[in-house]
Amino acid sequence: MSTPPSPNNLRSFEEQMARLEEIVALLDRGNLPLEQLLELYEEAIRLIAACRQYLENAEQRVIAIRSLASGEAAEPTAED
Amino acid sequence: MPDGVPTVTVSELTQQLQLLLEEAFPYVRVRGEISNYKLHSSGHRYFTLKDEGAQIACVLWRGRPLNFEPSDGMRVVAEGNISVRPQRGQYQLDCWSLEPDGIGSLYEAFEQLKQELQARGWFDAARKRPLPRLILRIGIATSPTGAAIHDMLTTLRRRMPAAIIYFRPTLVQGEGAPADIAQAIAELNQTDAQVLIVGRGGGSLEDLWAFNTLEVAQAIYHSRIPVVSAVGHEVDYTIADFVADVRAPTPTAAAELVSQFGLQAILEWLAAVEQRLGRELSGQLERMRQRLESIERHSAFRRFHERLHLLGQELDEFAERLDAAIVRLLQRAAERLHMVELRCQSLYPLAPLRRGFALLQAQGKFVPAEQPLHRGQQLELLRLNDRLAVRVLQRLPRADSHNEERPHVHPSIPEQPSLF
Repeated sequence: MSTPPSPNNLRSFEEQMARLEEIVALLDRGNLPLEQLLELYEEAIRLIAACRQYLENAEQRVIAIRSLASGEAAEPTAED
Repeated sequence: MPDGVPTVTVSELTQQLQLLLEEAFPYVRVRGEISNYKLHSSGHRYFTLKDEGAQIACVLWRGRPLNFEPSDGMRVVAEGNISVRPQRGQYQLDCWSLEPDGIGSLYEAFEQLKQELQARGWFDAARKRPLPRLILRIGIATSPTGAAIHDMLTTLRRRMPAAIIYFRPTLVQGEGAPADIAQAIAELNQTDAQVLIVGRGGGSLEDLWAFNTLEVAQAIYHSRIPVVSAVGHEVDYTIADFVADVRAPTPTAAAELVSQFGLQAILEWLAAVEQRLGRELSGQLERMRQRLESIERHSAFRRFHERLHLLGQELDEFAERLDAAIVRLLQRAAERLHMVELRCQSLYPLAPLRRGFALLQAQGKFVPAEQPLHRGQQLELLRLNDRLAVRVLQRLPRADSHNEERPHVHPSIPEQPSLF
């Protein structure tokens, strides 16, 4: 977990993905004027590039949630 | 009555019995079948443990751990101590814990809780929440030391490295397990996780028992965040699996489930969106082109075209006529120009030189025709291409009938008048 994605980056990635979903929904609805289609195209291409970059650089981050209960709860138990 | 035996009160005797029994049985494990089971509103549980030949009153005080819901006829093993109730002249088993006795009993407990929760509607498909498509924040409640957490983290790292994982190390078997699992679910509900995975790796039915308790079922039922259960192996079904929004057969399967729209799928989706946009754009352009064409094909426009064509034809003809007129004009102008040129040429004093005439000059100046020339006079003769120095040798008579003294050009010769 050398360079974890910051929550901000994660948020903007989520937002970018959500916007892309929106654009796809707009395409699904159809009948977009050429001008709007061109604008959406340019926007989407930018978003796609940003998302790809984020995914390429993303590394897993594990945040341990400390038990609020007594120590017994956090005590590890062997299984298997 | 024999002497030496003191008379005691009931209380004194009971006190002695109490001391005797409680010191003799500070810890017992008793196997038996439950009857007259009663869960009091205070939270204490009262029942009788019996076998073919005897019975004993039992109590399980509120707050004592219980992994299953006891019921009449269930065979259990109780742990506890013997206590005496002096007021009623009774002894009883104070249970510290109660466990189903054997697989059969566990299965009965399982079936019983399952039926009860099913009746409450906790398993209804209608209340199962769908998981978000894009999952980037995952809460996990499982043992920190088992294979399950390792498998899940490995799977998620591979399939969705962009995800943040909130890991709550959790006790998943033993006495405190149900309470800790419930606590873990509650704590993970305080995070912004989009989905919770609750589970553990495979084990015996007893090992998995915590996931068959009402306590864990309640925690899953009340979870704000959708829960994926991941308990044991594919064949293991627990109450937690039925209450959870989604049941995954194994922890690894749970990790795969929440990363369905993972790295690879997202990259593919992005590429598909990119292609789609390109197609939409070119499709739109194509549609516009076709619309234009159909407009052009429309009859009104066709007539318009025909008219345009006719107009064009007229225009062409007009242009041709115009061209011809211009050419004629130019030709005429050119002819006139040529004639002017010819005339100009005939007026030019040196033009006759081309035809062999010569011009007489004296000291660079023209010699007028009236000027007499005398013998021995130096003159210059100007020809077309050269200039010669000449001298008058002799006056000769002229061949024509004019004055021999003063030669002049005959007016009938057209070149002569135009010479000077």
